[in-house]
Amino acid sequence: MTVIMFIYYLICAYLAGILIWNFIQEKKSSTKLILYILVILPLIIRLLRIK
Amino acid sequence: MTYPWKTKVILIGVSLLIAIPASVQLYHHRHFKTPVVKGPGVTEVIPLSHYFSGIKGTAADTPVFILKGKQPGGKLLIMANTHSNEPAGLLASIIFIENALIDQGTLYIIPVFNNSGSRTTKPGDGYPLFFDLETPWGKRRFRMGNRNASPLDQWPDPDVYIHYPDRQLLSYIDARNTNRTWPGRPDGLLMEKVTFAAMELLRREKVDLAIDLHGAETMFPVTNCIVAPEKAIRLATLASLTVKAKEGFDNHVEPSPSKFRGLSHREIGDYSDTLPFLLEAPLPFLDQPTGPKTVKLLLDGKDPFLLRLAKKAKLFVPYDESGWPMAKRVGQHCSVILELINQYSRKNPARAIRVKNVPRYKEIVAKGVGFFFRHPQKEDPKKIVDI
Repeated sequence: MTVIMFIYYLICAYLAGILIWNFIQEKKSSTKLILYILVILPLIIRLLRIK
Repeated sequence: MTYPWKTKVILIGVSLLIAIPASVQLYHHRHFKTPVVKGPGVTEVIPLSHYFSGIKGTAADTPVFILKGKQPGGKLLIMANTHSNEPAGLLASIIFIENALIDQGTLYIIPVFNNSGSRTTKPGDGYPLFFDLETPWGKRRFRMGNRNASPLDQWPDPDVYIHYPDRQLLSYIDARNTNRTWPGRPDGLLMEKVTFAAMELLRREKVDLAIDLHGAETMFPVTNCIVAPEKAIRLATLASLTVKAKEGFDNHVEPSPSKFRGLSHREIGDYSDTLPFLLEAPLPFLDQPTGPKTVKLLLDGKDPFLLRLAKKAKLFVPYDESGWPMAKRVGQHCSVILELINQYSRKNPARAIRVKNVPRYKEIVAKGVGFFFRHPQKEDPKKIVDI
């Protein structure tokens, strides 16, 4: 694994973490909840390296 | 209004219900095996990693079919599915693998050059994942892939792809395009390793001719043609004129641009002694102003929007109600390959290549592509190679 790829995995993990946190904290907007799920899914798949 | 956990869990559940069935289809496509029968001319099948171990065990490794003749002679490499959404080349290469008999010289055939690209699709364009071809014994299924390798196999993409060794700036997406990463390098990106492995094959085996099979939009000027660099353009011209005179189809010659780097027909010529050619067959499926990207459009090339554009002289190929069927495209590829071999052998008798039992344009158009395929289920399992 190259250094750049490793950094991208870290970025993925960071963004996924923030989005999960926002999903948990969201209390008003159903649109935002759906948006969080849509954005989190590819990041989770990338982190789990599902092919 | 607040959202309790129950609502959130239901939303996650609904998302998974949509995502999982879609993922299963893509997983099936990525792992689908296409059986190819080793025809009577095939003497050996080796992985491309034989020439460069850096791709061994990766999704980029791919089988190389070797058809060695009774007498020594010249050598030819045929590459198909460099772009896996241009499948006429794949079908032409399988016709060679399953039928060709070699009297003199050696053929190296790589039916799926960008193996990773053949196992992904083009998001947003609604590509079919598979297409079935009619044969006398039923349907034969093939994967429909994408132009570029899968980001599952080469990731992340750079902001700009800097070509090696010329340092020309190319689109970021071309880092996964095996017709932009030539001549490659052993310590580069995965697709640069693929093209490096092919360069090693060409250099080590002292291959005389390399033919890269493609398809191109009817609205793109470089279509229905043979692309060749300066050192191969004479041979390309002879082949073009001969197929026009003898078989009645146009296949004009385009010079390989010397300042556009990374292309097979440019870098193979510059970095080896091999004469490279790239064959482009018209592929209406790739044009932007068409109807839905269906299997039917892929196979028959008929589209009402292209027909209207043809009447306004906006296309670079003749186009009428008959479309551009797959048989015409595959037939052109087979005939032009055979003609390039003929012309090269005439000029270089000591390095001649003699191939027989491969159908030409008229025969393929008359009988259909599937007529020339063997039935994998009726062959000895030892003769089957999955691609």
